[in-house]
Formats: sequence, structure tokens, C-alpha cells
Amino acid sequence: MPCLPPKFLVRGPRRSPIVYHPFVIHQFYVHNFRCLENFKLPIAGRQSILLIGKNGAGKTTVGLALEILQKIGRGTNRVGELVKPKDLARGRKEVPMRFEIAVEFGGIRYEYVLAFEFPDGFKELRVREETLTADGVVYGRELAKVYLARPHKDKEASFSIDWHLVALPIIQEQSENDPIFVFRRWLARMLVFRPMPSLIRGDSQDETLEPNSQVTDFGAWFSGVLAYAPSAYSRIDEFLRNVMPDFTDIKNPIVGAESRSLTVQFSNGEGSLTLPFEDLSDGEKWFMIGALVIAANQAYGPILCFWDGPDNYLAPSEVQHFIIALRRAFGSSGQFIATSHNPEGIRSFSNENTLLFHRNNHLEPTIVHPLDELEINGDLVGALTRGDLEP
Amino acid sequence: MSVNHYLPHVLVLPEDDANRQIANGFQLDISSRQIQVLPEAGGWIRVLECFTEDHIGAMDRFRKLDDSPD
Repeated sequence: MPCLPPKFLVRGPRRSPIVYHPFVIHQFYVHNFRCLENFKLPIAGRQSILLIGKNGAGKTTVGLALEILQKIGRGTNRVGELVKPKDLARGRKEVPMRFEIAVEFGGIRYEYVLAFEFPDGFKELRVREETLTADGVVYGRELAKVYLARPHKDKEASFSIDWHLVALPIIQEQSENDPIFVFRRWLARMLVFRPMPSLIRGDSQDETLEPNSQVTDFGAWFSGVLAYAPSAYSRIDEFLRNVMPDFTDIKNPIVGAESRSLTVQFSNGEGSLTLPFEDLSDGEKWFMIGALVIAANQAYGPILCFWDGPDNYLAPSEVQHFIIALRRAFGSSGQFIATSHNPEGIRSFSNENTLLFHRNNHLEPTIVHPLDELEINGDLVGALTRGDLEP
Repeated sequence: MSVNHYLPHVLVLPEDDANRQIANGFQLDISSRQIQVLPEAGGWIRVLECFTEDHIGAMDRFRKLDDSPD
């Protein structure tokens, strides 16, 4: 029998047989990270979710917490590059900082727990606890000791690791079906977006399926998606022709020894015009990002997409179409989380998939309530405009 | 571009927030930009007012291209 510490062998009660679509986060829990204390994001079973609330309520911080897990999936393992002592809620160093995520895809439920601590005399946080389960323990860890389960062996393997390193990025997977590889790849391909269209130029020197949060590597992402699944272009083309009727195509020609640069062609009965990607307006670049999000989820999803303000930069007449298109794209696979202050964006969701974030002041943590549990007088946007909406 | 006003389209003018949410759910099931849910009017009387004051004129203005007045 494996002799993992008992805590890693404890299984929780079997959950009721709720039927989820191919991928959803079952649980996302954060503790002692910035304004998130004992924080649970209640999004299980929802394909698309809107986070609303006043400035400073903690909506963006949820994205930052997800980004920490994304960085781990993408290979960052030095604790000091993931979290800083200043990220401890109100500098509270006697309490561990904790991240827990439970997701289900491919018929397997993955649970990853990571806790940091900041002992006296340390200059950076260290790993206190780390566990990955995939319908059973994959590995567990306490401080520097990692216990690796080996299902077909009598004993588990164990090894020591620097306690300032997260283990997940460095454990060698056995194959592409290894739960470590599958979960790590899923983390890496999460999209956590706060795009800055003015910084997006469309140039690229390589390919990626893992764009950065500002999407300044849009050109590399475009190349990566089409290299991975050339048929994704039809989805991109369909989306862009709907929002820009004179859109003709995107080309990604080689412009140097090892670089490419996107160009976009428009045409109608009067002629055609080809523009460098960087010359598009911010809103037009926004359409391009939306098209690629939809194509990516179809090509290599299911993806979790957290988009901080997906209705920024868009004309009011476009917001609803854009949000609904994203929600529809994630309706059968993947999960879409948006934040918004835009009335049209907020109206594109319903109470059952809207969460209100609230903080009484900067000394107190974020609290979150599903909107359908609150009593709203009058219309929602009016209540938000008046500042009347509080849990 | 918003809905193309020269093509057949549907603008949903919900009476209240509950109707807006129902229309939202409906939108998720159809793949078309030719439907748009407008902000809730705030009661049936205001739906009628909004329809007569804002939308009848717009419907006259945006006739189908092959639907010229007699």
C-alpha cells in the first residue's frame, strides 16, 4: 500500500451526479491573497459568468489569482516570481496564502492545492503544501518533501525539492496522458486577459497557444492557433465578416528572416484596402482578439477564459453582440468569466450568472454574492449607477 | 456594425428585467446578429410609448431595399 501521509489519501464524499458540460471549474478558493480572504468563487455549473461591483471590489484580483496558476502551468516555478510578501492580505504573515482549484474535463476531476507561508527571517514566501489529485492522488507535498503516487507500484516515490520552488512545473510526466501533463497544459492554456490594443502590433517571430495577459503577442498567438488547427481560420473569418462586412482576409506574410507581420484586407464593390494590423483601431483589434478566443476554444479547448472588461473599446451597438458571441462560443465547452462596468455588457448576462463583488473598505476582504440571491429595486443598471447594490 | 437595419431583424423591447433575462437566454440559442435586446422599458405602458415614439419612425426609415412605399 502506498504510504503517503494520510491527509493525501483522504477522499471527500462523492458528489451528487450533477451533469456539467465538458469543462467547468467546480471550485476556486483563495485565501490570504490581497483582498481575497476565505474566498470562494461560486461558478460551478455555469458556462459564462459576469463579475460586477465597484472599483476596488476585487474582480480583477480574481484574474490575478488565476494568473498565478497559469504561470505555474507555463513553467514558472520560483515562488518569488509568483507571489510577493506584499500579496499577503494586509501583510498578515502568520496565515498561509492558499489557492485551490477543482476542474473537470475529459471525465476526470482535477484538484490542485497550493499553499505558501512566510516564516520569520525569510525574504520570500515558501511552499507549505502542494497537492494534485486526478480522481486519486497524483502527488502530495509538505514543505520540501514531495510524495509521488505510483498506482501500479507497492510504494510511492518521494524526493526533496527546494521549498522556494513549486513542484508542478518540474515533475516529469510519463506521457501526454499523464494527469500532470494534462492538468499543467490546461493551466498553461488558460486565457487571462487585460488586453491593451494600442500595444498590439501584429508582429511575431514564433508561434504560441499561450498569449500573455495584454495580448501583445497577438501575432504569435494567431500563428500558433492556425498552425495547430488550420480550420480555425474559418471560425475567425466568420466572426470578423459578421462584425466588419467589408472584411476580406488576414494574411501573415514573412517580412524578415524569422518574422511575420499581420495585414488585414478590406474590400467592397468600390475596391480594396490592405492595412497593417497595427493600423487598425483599438475596437477593430478587439474584434480580432474576440475572434481568436472563439477559434482557440474550438481548436484546442476546453479553455477557461477570464477577460477583464471584454466590452471595453467597443461601440454601444456592438457590445451585446460581442458578449453574446463569446457566451455562445463557451456554451458547449470551456468557461468564460467576464468583468464589466458597461451597462450593455451587464445587460448581456442574466441574474443567475452574475456575481456581485463588494468590499466595505480597504481593510475588509471581498465578499461575493450571486445576483439572484439579492433583492434589486428597479433595473440592475440603475441600481448600479445609483450605488444602491450592496449585499 | 449593429443589426443591419435594412435586413429583416428583431429588436426586443422588454417590459421588465425578467423579460430581458428571458430574451438573453433566447439569444444564446440562435446564431444571428439580426436580433438585439434593448434595455428594459420599465412597464407595459412605457413599452407602448417607446414603440410608438422611437421605433415606428425607425421602421419607416429603414425599409427593406426592395420594399419601397407605394
